Amino acid sequence: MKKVFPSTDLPFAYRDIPLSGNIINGLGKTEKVGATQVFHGSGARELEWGKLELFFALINPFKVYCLNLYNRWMLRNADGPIANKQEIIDDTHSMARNIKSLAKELGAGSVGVTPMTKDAVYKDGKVNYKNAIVILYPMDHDEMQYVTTDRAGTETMRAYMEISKTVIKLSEKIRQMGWRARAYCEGADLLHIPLAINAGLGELGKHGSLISREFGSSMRIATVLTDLPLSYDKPSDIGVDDLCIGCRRCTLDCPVEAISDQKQVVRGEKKWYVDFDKCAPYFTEAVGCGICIEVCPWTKPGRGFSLSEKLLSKRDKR
Amino acid sequence: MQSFEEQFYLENPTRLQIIKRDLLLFLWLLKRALMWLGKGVLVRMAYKDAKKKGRPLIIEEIIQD
Repeated sequence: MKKVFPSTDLPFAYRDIPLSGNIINGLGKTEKVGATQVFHGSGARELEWGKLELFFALINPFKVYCLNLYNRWMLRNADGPIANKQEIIDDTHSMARNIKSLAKELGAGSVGVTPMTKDAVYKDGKVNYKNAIVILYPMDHDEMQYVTTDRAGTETMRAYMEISKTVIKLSEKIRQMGWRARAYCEGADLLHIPLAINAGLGELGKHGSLISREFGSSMRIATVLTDLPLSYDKPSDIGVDDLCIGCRRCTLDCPVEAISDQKQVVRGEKKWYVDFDKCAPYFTEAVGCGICIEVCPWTKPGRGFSLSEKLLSKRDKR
Repeated sequence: MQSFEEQFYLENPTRLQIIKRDLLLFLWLLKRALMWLGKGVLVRMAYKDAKKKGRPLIIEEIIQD
């Protein structure tokens, strides 16, 4: 199927271009500072590129827009009443095992646990919980072949709703055990990717998204923050850098050339980075875009485990 | 301006706090739904027009503070 993507000659523009998202994101900054939100503020918080975000919301199809509103309505139960009697946790390993199997029963694709850290909140945010239970939910690969159309946008929202249900229910179960727990999904206050990496669920790919061993990049992430004592997972090397250094699929397929072949220094850390100023306007025009995550070789269903194995064994031979 | 979580997430709330929050959230969502149906129509019309004419729509002209 030959795919036709929207033109890069965008039918909209800013008269006064906001402060570059790359500057706000700390591109080139060598000091380690907290992140500042630029886009995707859930419509509640005022952001530098907020007008573009509102424009994006209003040109979205009504179905996608309504699914987003319904998801917000569900998320009112992301926090709630806590049982008076607190369950005593002697064995954090077995508790983590139970929580993971419960999350999977509730629909999670993959689950990892990590301590909550400052790099998962924005600059002025506070770390109010001890632990993070990070969850991945895969999107339907066939539906996501229709990226840049309403169909893929609908699938993205469906995945958000499913993962919301999972984290809401999981947080509720933890609160019933007498421990604080709050679910975060599609929200504005938490950076899920650093937590997912620390929880061993994957690594950062060249396209700036998480690549998980199992689902590649075609998934959504949500998190439950909690004080429930749990044992932790460790970050895991699945060979993403080995692939991304040599592979140029997303770089070449990105219509606006927002993906660089080189890692860059961002807020004191050398990492893969996507040019925000090029990406965000096209993302808006392309109903959420997603070309880079769909063309990623890791995203093909059933390929991740063998690809990871191959990349790691190739490295060992070097 | 507060985030969505700061506005609508309640830790260990009372029944009354839940009712108040649900009402506020419902109104927040209703406002956003009406925005898509009201202002959104103007935005989409202007957007379509800009596409047809090949002249870019100026975001600040259609989305004000």
